[in-house]
Amino acid sequence: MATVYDAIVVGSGATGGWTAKVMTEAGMDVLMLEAGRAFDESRDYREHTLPHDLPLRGQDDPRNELLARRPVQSYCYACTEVNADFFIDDIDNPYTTAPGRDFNWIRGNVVGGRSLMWARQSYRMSDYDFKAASRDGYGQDWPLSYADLAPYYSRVERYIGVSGRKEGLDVLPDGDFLPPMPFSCGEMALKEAIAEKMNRPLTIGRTAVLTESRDGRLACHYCGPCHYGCRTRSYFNSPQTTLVDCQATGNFTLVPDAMVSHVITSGENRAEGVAYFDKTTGAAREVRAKVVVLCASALASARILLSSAEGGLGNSSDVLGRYVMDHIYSTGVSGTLPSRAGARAENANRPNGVYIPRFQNLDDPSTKKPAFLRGYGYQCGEGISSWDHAYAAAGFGAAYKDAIPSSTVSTIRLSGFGEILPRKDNRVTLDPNKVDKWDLPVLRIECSLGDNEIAMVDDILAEGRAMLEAMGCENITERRDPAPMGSGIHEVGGARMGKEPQTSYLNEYQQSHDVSNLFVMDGAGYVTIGCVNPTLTMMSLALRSSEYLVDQFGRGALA
Amino acid sequence: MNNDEDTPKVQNLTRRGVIAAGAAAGVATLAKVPGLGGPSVAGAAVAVGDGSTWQPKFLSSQQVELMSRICDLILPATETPGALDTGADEYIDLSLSLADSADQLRFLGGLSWMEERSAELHEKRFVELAQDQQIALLREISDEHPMHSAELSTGAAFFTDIKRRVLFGHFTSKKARVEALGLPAEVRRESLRGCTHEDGTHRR
Repeated sequence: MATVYDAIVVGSGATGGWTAKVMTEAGMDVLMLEAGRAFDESRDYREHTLPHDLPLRGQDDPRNELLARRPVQSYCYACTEVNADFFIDDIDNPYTTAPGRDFNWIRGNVVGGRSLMWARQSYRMSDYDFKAASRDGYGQDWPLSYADLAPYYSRVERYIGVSGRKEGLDVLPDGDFLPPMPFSCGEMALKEAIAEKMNRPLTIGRTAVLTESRDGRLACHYCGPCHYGCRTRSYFNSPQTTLVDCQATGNFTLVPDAMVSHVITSGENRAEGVAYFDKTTGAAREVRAKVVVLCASALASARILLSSAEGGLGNSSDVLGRYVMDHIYSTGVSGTLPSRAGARAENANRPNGVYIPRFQNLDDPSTKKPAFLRGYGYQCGEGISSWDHAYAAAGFGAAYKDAIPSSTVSTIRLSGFGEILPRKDNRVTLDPNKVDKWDLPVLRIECSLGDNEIAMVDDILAEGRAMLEAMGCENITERRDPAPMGSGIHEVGGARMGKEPQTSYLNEYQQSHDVSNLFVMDGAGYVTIGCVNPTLTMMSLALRSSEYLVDQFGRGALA
Repeated sequence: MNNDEDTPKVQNLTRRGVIAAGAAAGVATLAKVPGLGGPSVAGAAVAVGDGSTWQPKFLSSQQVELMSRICDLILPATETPGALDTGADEYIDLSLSLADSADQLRFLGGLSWMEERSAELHEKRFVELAQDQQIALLREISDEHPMHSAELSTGAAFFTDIKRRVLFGHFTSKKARVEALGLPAEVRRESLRGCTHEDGTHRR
């Protein structure tokens, strides 16, 4: 007799870990399938690798086959020869795009997924985001409000450990923080200048990195490259936290290298399980469960659902695959700070930046920006060169060389992260002409920025320049061209939540309107993306939805 | 197909205690670069001041000799190690062995230009010149000049190229990290000092 699990969770990253934790701790028997490889903390974590440990000192090594097979993944700063095997093989796992609409789809390939390599910035959204449509008339509101989610934000923050400062801002609600990391001097100069001259706040990045030891995890020792892993478990990722808790219940089975192709259904309105390929053998398998929860990441979950029925499983709304979003990424300004010339870095390896919250189109009429809807924040920081300023210094010889350590340069960098509006034609579909290594139809991703985003870029550059000038920066340069969508690695949407089954795929508990025992708890349910990093909100939503799921399961409502 | 009877590979996670604490072949295709004299194999082992040696992977012995001398002139040993103490020359040879052919040709062309210039001015190889002559030759192509004549443009581009390479090779070495930059040899537990100014200066 084949096993019928209480629930199958597809994906072991930030959200998969949470939903499996909630369900297993409630006594449900859970099978988790992860498309990536198994994870071994002692072998996989290489965070103390220094440039001189590598043959080419960290320059891309053409002999590295892992990188050669990851031309898309290599776009991400976090994908290097040290940890390329955390990322998916682009050759075996292709996707297509439309002409002129490039998309960088950055994906994990390991138990824990992108929670191993994420940038850890953890901000709450506010009702400026959840109720954005009511404020400006564009799109739809979320089916829940900030007040609904606030208790779950708190619980997630306390569990994962988020360091930060309370600021009392409506647009960026405070959380339950560990002690903040310190500002550098240049960042203090920026903070004071924009507070005094522009009445704008700046706060330390709110980051899922421990500043105090807790729960068997050590406080950060500031070695630097978190995306190579962390043997002291100082930043949040699922394999070192939620998945360990799942395992401890005895109700948990984790299968890596399991590439899910589709949800198995009976009739039209019930999920029976999932089908997958064992990537190590190529064998096709099917597994059964009473509830199916997709946490494969927004676009991967959309692909599974599109592959599960003609026209997409549970897609009476025709919303599936649509309203894909990301953040405007890679636009910003930089300048050098002459008062800090020659400084030594106080915070050389702080795994965190500073943050200027959104200051556009808020309740205060003075914040209105007629050129665009919604807004953006800046992720910022001061960088003190170590020796690389020597490239730009003329000369050679003993005097030239001996001046290098003391002639450092301080660069203040402001990078705008702007909201991309949800648009019906920013979408993914199955490409009828291409399959992957497992003969599964690949995604065709058709996404691009619109006029609202282009107008926002102009403002990101103008306001950024004004702030650098206000603090006395020189040599100000602009990075104007936004990167292709996906590059922010905040891709969300494709199965949005909503109150109305006619216009949304999921309800407020990330449950399919059409298939009651099917949930999608990754970022696919996003209605708007706001301008803050999405993972904290994803985890909080997953916690809220999972407790609802457990309650409904206990009542027999999902049977 | 339904393989429910199979046992899938399962990963178990536990909360363990936190852990406490070819290149020569490429050269053959470049043998015809004008003025190079046509190396077909990388040079012999190079002796380092500390008694060790390294084996070139790309450059011939004469090219290594020239490249190393220029590195030494750009970043000489002072109170801190020089480029030859930190193995920057070995790094340059290795990185060239893995570079694309356009970069390799550009570098070899630069070395060739240096020898031709030296012969033109002094009728000697660069490494045979007196140090002040070497410095003078390097200075005329250095980035201290905002513009260079057409006659010197190849040399000036080479200076920029080799300067970038020697800076990178030098300062990413363990020896320069410790002895020139004052950083720890290995990653170690550190704390963040942060800004401590209370007077609003936020300077060094």
